[in-house]
Amino acid sequence: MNDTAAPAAVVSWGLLEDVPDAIVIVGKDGRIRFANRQTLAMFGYGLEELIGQMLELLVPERFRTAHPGKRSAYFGNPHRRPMGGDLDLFARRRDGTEFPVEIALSPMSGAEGMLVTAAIRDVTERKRAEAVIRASEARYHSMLDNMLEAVQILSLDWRYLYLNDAAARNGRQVKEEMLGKTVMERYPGFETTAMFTSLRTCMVERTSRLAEFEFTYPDGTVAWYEFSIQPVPEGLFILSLDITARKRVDQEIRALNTELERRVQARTEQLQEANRELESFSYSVAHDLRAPLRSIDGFSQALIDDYAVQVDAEGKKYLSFIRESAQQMALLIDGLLALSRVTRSELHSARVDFSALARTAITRLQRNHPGRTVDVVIEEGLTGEGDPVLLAVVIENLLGNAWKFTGKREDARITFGAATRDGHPVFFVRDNGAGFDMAFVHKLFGVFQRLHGATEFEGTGVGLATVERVVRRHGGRVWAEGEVGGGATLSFTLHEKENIG
Amino acid sequence: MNNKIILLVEDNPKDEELTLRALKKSNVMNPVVVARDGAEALDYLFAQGAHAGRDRAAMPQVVLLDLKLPKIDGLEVLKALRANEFTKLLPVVVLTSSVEEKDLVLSYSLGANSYVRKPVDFVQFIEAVRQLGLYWLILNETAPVTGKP
Repeated sequence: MNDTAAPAAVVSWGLLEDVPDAIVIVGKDGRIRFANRQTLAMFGYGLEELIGQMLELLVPERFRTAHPGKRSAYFGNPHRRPMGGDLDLFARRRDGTEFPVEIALSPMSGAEGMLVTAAIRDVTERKRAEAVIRASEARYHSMLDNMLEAVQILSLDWRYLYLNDAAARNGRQVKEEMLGKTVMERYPGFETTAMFTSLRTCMVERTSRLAEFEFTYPDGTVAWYEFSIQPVPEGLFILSLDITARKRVDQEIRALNTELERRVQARTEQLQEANRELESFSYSVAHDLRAPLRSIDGFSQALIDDYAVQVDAEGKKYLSFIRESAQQMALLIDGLLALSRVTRSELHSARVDFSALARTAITRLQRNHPGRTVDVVIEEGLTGEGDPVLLAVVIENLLGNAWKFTGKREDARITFGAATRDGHPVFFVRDNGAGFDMAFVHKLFGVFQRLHGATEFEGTGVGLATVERVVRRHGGRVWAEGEVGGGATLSFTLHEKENIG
Repeated sequence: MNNKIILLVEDNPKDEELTLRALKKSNVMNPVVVARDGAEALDYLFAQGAHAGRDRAAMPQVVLLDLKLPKIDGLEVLKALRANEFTKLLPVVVLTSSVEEKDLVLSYSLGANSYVRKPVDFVQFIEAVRQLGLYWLILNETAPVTGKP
């Protein structure tokens, strides 16, 4: 250490070596009297390079010219000046580089007259941190400003503390005219709205909430906003999104749905009306069409019984034709009623045991035709889902047909079974009876369509039509394969369409 | 067989004729009273109106009731009979054209004792009537009339 300049001072100022700031003591002439270790480290000088030098050595060159004037002014009006304040001060290292500093000044009187102690603090790190914070704030600010969602911060007394561009745009106002004003000032009548009630609850209870609001502008137009309200120390932070378009679509969909429901309702009523009419029509048919037939049959029989003498053999034959026709028509009426019952009855779903139904049907057929011998094979455990009554009609009709059309064979054989096709069970009734010509297969399931003459096989022509209708109502299909004299196979599925759809 | 009355409620004269004929053919010789609509049937059974002078203690052995009737239909007649203490146990056989499930269920739920469909085939009709006569006129013991009308 060079001790020629101010040895006494160095000793007495020894305690200044331990403070964290750089301490420089300057005389009225502007020359440096003392500099502590921190000064040497901070500025990069040796002590001998500083002592006795002008203070301006430590001042950046661009400020050097003006500095002696400021220094003299201070010595003219010495006072304690703490660090901080608005001054942006810079210092210069030995290598010429600058760095930001804060400087505290305090005057003191000594034997050599007035001295000024300057405590210098390097604030490079702090300035850098502040710059980072400023940059980050600016980034967030610009993000908020440019967000698609409207952002507003309201004070506890309902003043706009902040709002972004979207908020001003949504409010159809100018941002600058809103800031500092209360919401009530900017939107007269705001206190009467549901939006206000909701916001006030959040404001008072310090709770957050999500809500949708209808907002009416002064010109009467209406918009919908989705609000996310969050209490913050200043008041409320509100994020809002214009959902008017979405609302409008919602309303249109609702309106369309209502209209659709109305139409379905109307159509359902029409159908119910049609069903009621069909119901009463069928009821009349069941009662009224049979009574005349009964008369025709009964009185023909009365003629045969009571007037046997007057009516010759030819006449009796005609009377028996009349009776046969009446009975045939009664069968047709019954068939038609069964068919219409299939169409109008409600479907009840249950697990149906087809094998059991088939056994019952065959037992009945055998009882009604005790003279026949038919080899019947019924596969066990065949079940399906559907209406038990209607599916019984299907099984009875198919087996009844097989029974009928094998009537002329000595070695009659009927098989009821199931195969699997495309993962679906296909039920079938196969016989070795009269069969049919595949050229007419399309006529098989039509009402009153028959492929055999009445003299060959009796029938009404509604059985398979009924089967077809039941199967169709169960979402299935029915089809037939056969050849003349080679038997027939009638197959059906259930619930195919539902599964495809 | 006995001389107990059969009340036939039937509006169709041809059906009436056929039913009477079927009764005769199946050897049912009981006297048959015919009521041609529901109102007349009730008048007869309750001994009122045109039948006011009748001894109402003399109840028919069985009522053969058609369903489709003018004025008061068969189901209403049945309902009225079952609601009356005097006739609630009277055997009523519904004899009708239809086998509509609705008619069947309603008839039985209103207290019909039996339900017979009139077959178109007269031979079958005779058989049905014969069985009816056998059961309701010979085998069945009528409940004693206890109530007051």
